[in-house]
Amino acid sequence: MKEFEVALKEFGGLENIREQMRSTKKFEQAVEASTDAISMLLPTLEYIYVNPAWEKMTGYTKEETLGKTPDMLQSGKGDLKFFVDLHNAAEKGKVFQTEMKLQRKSGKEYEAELLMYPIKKENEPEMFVIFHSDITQRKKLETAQSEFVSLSSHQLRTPLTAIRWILNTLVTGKQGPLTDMQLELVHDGQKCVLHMAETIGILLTISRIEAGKMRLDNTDIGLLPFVQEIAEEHTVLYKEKNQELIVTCPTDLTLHADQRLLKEVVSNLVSNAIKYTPEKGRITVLVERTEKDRTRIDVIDTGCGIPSYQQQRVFSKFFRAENVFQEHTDGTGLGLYMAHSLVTMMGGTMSFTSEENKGTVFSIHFPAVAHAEDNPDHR
Amino acid sequence: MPKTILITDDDLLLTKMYRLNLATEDIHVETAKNGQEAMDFMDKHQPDLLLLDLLMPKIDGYAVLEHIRKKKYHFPVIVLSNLSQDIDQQKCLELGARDYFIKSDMDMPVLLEKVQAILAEK
Repeated sequence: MKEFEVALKEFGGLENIREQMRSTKKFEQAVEASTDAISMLLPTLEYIYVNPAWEKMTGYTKEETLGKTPDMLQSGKGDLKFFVDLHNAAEKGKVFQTEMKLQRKSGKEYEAELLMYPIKKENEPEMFVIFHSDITQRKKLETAQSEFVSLSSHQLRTPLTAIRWILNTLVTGKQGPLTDMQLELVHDGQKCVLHMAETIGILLTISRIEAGKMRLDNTDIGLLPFVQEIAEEHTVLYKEKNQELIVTCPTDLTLHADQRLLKEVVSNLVSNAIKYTPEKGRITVLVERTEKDRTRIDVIDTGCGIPSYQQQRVFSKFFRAENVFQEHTDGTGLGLYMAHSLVTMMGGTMSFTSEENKGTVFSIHFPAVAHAEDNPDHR
Repeated sequence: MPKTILITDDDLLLTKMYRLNLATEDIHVETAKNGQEAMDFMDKHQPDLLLLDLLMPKIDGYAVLEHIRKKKYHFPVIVLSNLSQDIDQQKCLELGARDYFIKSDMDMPVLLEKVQAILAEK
């Protein structure tokens, strides 16, 4: 009896053994009850355990499975490379994660997400655990979202193109001269078309950002010609309101970023500035290299400003400031939300200061090297 | 000697607008309303420039680009589509298209300038 007590003490005491057994039992119960399919395999990838959720997902029973390898789930149309990769990872004792088309016992295929990780003993894998989930529904939703974006872009743009080109055709006068009033009306129509094209563009950009479908195509942008071009494209708009638009930018400044997306952002800020600044006001686009090679683009206006009590909501979806909503009911409240999302995605930040009836400064800041570039999550 | 441009689009209203705006003394406009008609036309008579839509019934714009590559035709192609995903644009440029524009963002006078500039190159 004494020897037993000594042995027990060395082992950590009877309570400890009971505790260990209880906790092993607890883990076993948890794995058995899990709704995620969990399996355990030898380093040779032979199954030594599958839980009930695994049996339910694959349609195979435990008895049919133990001793076999995951190759039993191979789908006819599936990619063999997956199984090669899986075996390679097992040999090297590595963590392996992938999405893959697999096949149930019934022959029905499903999209699976797998995470395999080794349980090591003295640095050698002793066993592998695979967590396995059915992502068929999620994949379907992702595809549906992407198809919806693509389809709506096409369906909305096709009639808009026809209207745009019909108005283009009338303006040329080749089909007969227009009276001044007719020309004015055609120009009004053209403005509506531009507005609608812009709104469709914003909607599509947002839905692509939210679906994670946006890709960055970074190049070195010469900032002076870049902002000059944007200013030029807004000439008609600011001249119409007798405003002046000033561009200040050092000649040799470049920024490594996605030109098309950055243009959407800056254009949006400039057209907002023009829209919410009264006649004879001034808009300034100021580009500077600040400390530590950071780049800042400011769009400064002498407009109506944003009421201080609403300022914390400026970048949220559908935000419209109370003071502008009284006069301009046609905004969507999506432009700044889009601009802010795009800047964040590009690895920059956006801020503003504003005083009601005096003006607003929107600032975009970029670090020396936009770090979002190598992040595959942003693809 | 007027240059020939081939316009391929299944939307007849748009084809009419292309014709009204692009046909000039120096530009002769031919039209095709799907990919098959475009391929039949170019196999007989290569245009100086092709304006190509992407989504068309049966033979689409991608298939036309592949046909041009296979036949080693050298005339330039401008794709004008309302598909705006980066991947569509990338695919067309990889297949040899010279430019890719979204139709609803394009104005006819701007397109005419681009067409004239390309035709003046040769």
